[in-house]
Amino acid sequence: MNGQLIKSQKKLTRRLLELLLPFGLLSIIMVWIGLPILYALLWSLVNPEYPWSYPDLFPTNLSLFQWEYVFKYTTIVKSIGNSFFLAFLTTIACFMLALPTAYALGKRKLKGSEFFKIIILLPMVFPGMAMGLFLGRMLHVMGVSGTYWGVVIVHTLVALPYMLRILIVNFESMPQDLIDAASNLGAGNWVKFTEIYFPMILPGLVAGAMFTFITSMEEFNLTFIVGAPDITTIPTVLYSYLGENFLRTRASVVSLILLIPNLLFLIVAERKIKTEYMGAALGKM
Amino acid sequence: MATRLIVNGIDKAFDDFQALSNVSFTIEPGQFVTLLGPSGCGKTTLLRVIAGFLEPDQGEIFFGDQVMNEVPPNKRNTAMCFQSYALFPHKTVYENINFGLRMRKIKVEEQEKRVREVMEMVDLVGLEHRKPYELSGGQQQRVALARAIIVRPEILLFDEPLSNLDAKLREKVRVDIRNIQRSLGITTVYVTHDQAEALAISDVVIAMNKGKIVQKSDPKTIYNHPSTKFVADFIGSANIISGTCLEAAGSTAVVNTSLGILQVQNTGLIQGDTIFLCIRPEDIVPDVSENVLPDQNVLTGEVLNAVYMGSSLDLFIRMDTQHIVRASVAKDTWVSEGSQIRFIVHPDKICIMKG
Amino acid sequence: MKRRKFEWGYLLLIPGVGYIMFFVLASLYIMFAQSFGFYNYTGTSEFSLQFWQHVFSRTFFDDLWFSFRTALLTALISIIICYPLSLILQRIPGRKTFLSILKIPMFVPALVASFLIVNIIDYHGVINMILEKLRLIDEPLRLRNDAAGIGALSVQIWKNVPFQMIIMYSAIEAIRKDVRDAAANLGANRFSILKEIIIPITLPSALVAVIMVFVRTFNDFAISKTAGPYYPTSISNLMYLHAYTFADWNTAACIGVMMMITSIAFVSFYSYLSKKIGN
Ligand SMILES: Nc1ncnc2c1ncn2[C@@H]1O[C@H](COP(=O)(O)OP(=O)(O)OP(=O)(O)O)[C@@H](O)[C@H]1O
Ligand SMILES: [Mg+2]
Repeated sequence: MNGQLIKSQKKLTRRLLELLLPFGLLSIIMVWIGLPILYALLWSLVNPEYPWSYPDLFPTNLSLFQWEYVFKYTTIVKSIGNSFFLAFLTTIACFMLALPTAYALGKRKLKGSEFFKIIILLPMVFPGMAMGLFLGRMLHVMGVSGTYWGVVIVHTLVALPYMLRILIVNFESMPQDLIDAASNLGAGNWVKFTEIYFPMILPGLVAGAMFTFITSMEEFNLTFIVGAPDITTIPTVLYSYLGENFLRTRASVVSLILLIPNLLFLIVAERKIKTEYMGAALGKM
Repeated sequence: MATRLIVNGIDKAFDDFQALSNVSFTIEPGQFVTLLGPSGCGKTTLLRVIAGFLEPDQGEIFFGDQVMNEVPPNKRNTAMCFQSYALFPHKTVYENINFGLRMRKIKVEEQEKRVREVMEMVDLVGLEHRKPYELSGGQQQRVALARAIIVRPEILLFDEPLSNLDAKLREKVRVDIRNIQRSLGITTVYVTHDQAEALAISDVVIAMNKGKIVQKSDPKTIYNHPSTKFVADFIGSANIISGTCLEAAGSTAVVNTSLGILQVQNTGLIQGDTIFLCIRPEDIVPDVSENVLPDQNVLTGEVLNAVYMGSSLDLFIRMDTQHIVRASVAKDTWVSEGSQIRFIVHPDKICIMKG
Repeated sequence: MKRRKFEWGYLLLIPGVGYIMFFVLASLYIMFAQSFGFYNYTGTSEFSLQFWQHVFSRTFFDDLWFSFRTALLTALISIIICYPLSLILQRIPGRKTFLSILKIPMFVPALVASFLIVNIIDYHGVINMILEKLRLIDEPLRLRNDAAGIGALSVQIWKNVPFQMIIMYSAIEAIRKDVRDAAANLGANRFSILKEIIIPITLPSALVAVIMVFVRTFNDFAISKTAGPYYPTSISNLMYLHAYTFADWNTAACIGVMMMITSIAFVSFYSYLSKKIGN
C-alpha cells in the first residue's frame, strides 16, 4: 500500500520533471537567441524624434524612419543588388567547377583521392585575411581588383569547398549496384545520366547551391579587400556602420536585412537538406 | 538457482499500432522456450519488454516472485543477444565479449578464462583484437551471441542468434547453447524463424501471431496437434481443408470435406459443426495393396507433379473435387506424373481445429 | 608487360582541385616571397631578413596570444556547453524544434552576430540594465571592447555553440539505441553507459568540433574588430593594419607566415594529443 503510494509519487515527479525540463530549456534558448534579434529589431524601429536611451527597457516610440532612410538615402539597394548578383554568379561558377571533380573523387576510385579531398579543405582553414591580402595582390596585378570578376573569383574560392564536399558525399552515397542495374537493364550513357545520375545528385546540388549562395552573401574579409571601395556588398556596408561611425539604428536595419536570406535558408534547409550534406558542408570528417 | 519467468497480460502499443496484446505465459525454471511467428508479429518487442528496454502499457513481468516492471534493464539479471547484434563499434571483439563480466566486477583471471571458453565455443579464436567492422556478418553475430552467453544470467534472451551462420556451424552452436543452458539451468527465451530449429531444441514452443499468443505446447504437440489453422500452416507444411461434421457417434466422426467424406477421431464434435482439418504431407501414405480396410480413409487422385526433395518425394495430387493435396512419400516410390494414385490417411493422423 | 592505361579521371580534378590549389598556392607563394622582401609594391625587391627582425614585437605577441586564447577558450567553452546539452536534448520531446531554433546563430553572418551581441552587452545594453535592476552590480559593466576580450568571446561562443551542437548531436544520435540497450542489458548503469559507450564513440567528433572552431576563431578578423578590445587585437587585424595602415606589406607577410605556423603547430600538437587519448 505504502509502496504503491511512493511509486506513484515517484512517477508524478518524473512526469513533472519531464515537462519542466523542456520548458526551462526552451526559455533559455529563446532568450539566448531571441533577445539579441529582438533588440536589433527594436533598435531598427526607434523613432529619431524620441531617442531611446538609458534607463528605458523599451523604446518609447516606434517608426519605420530608419528603414525608409536606409533604403532611400544610402547605397544599400545597390549593395543588396551586388550581393545577390555576386552570389548568383558564384553559385554557377562553383557548380560548374565542382561537378566534374566531385564525380571523379566520389565515383571513380582514383589513387590519392584522400589527399585531394584534404586539399579541398585548404580554403576553409587558410586565414581569410591572409588570403585576402596576398591573393588580393595577385588579383591587383591581374587587373581584376575592384571588379565583379575579382570578387567572383575569391567568393568561388571560399565557397567551392562546400559545394565539392556535398557533391562528393552525394556521389559516394550513390550505390554502384543501382548504376550497374541500370546498365544491366540496357541503359546507355545518356539514359544513365538523365535517369540515374541527375535525379540522384539533384538533392546534393540544391544543398550545395544553397551553401554556396549563403557563403557568398556573407563573405566579408575577401570582399572587403578585393572589392572595396568600388564593389560594396551588404556585409561591407554593415562593417562601415560598425566601425568608426558606429550608428546603432542604421546598423540594426542592415543587420536584419543581412539576416533575412540566411533565416530563409535555414527554414528551407531544415526541411529539404539531408543531415549528411549538412555534416559534409560543416566539415565533419 | 534457476528462475521462473512469468509474463502476465502484457499490452504494448506503438502510437496506435498494437504490437502486443494481452500476452501471458509462464516459463518454468531452467526451461528452454522458443518464440515462433511470422515477421513483425512482436517477438522482438516481447523480448525487449522482458529485458526492460520497453515499458509495457499494461501487465507485469515477474522473475520468480518479484515484479520487474520498475526495475531498470541494468538491474535485471538478463542477457540478450540482439537481432541487430548491437555490438559496441569502438570496442574489440575481446572487449565486447568481456563487457558484461566487467560490469559484474568478475575477477580478471576468471574473465579471461571465460572469454577463452566462449570464444572457442563460437569459433572466434584469433579474432580477439579486431573491431566489429572488420568482421563478416556471421562473425559479428557470433560475437553478439558470445557476449550474451558469457554472462550466465538468470534469464537468457536470444533474438534469432543463428540466422546468419552456415548450416553446419548453426547446428554445432545450437547444440552448444543448449548444453550450456542445461548445465547451468538458465531460463531461456529463444526467437527463431527456423521451425525445424524450434522443434529440435525447445522444451516448449510458443507460437505468436499479430501480437498474440496462439499456442504454447511442447514441440510434439504443437506439430501434431496444432490448435489453429495459423499454427498448422506456420509450423511445417500442412494440407488444411474445411469440412462439416455429418455424424458424430462414439470414437469416430464422419466429416464432409473438399477431399471427400473422411472418418476422423471424435474430439467432441456435434453434427453440423464447421471445422478445419490438418493433414501433414508425410501422413498421406500411397496404397498399393488394393484391400480396403474399413477404418481407413482411402482416396484417389491424379499426380500433377512429383518433386524430388532429397530425403523424400513430394507429390501434388489433384482430387476429383479439383482440390490439390500435398503428400510426402518415400524417396524411392515410383510414380509418374499424370497417373492415378490411391492413398490412405489414418483417422488418427487427421488433426481437427476450430475456426 | 602490361601498359598502364592513362587514368582520364585525373583530368576531371582540374576544375575543382586545380582551381583551389592554384589560388591557395599563389597566395602562399606571394606571402612567403614578400616576407623575405620580394614582390614589393614600391622600392627595390630583394632578399632581406630585416622584416623578420621587426616582426617579433610586443604588439605581435600580445595579439597572437589574444587570438590564440580567444580561439582556445571559445572552442573549449563551447564544447563544454554542447556536450551536456546534446545529451539532454536527446531525451526531450520536441527536440527537432529545439535543434532548429538552436541552429539560428550558425546561419547568422559573423558581422551580424557581432552586432547583435554587442547590442545587448553594451554599456547601457539590456544585460547591464537587468543586472542593475536585480542589484547585482552598482554600475554597468564594460563588456564590449573590454580589455579582457569578453565581448569578442561572447560573440564567438554565441556563434559557435550551434556549430558544435550539430556535430555533437548527430554523433550522439548516430549511436544506435540497440547498442545502449545492450550495454544496459549487460549491467551498465547510466554512468557506465556514458563512460564506456557514449563518450568513447563520440570523442572523435568532439575533437573535430573543437579543432574546427579553434581554426575558425583563430583566423577571425571581423568579430574581434567590432566586439573585441582596442588593444590587444586579433592577429588578423595586426596583419591588416601593417598592410593597409602602415603600407608595410613585408611585415604583414611575416605575420601571415607566423599565423600559418601557429595554426599548423597547434593542429599537429592537437592531433598528436588526440591520437594518444584515442589509444
Ligand atoms: N519503435 C517502434 N515504433 C513503431 N512500431 C514499431 C516499433 N518497433 C516495432 N514496431 C512494430 O511492431 C511490430 C512488431 O515488431 P517486432 O520487431 O517485435 O517484430 P518481430 O516479430 O521481431 O519481427 P522479425 O521477425 O521481422 O524480427 C512490427 O509491426 C513493427 O513494425
Ligand atoms: Mg525481430
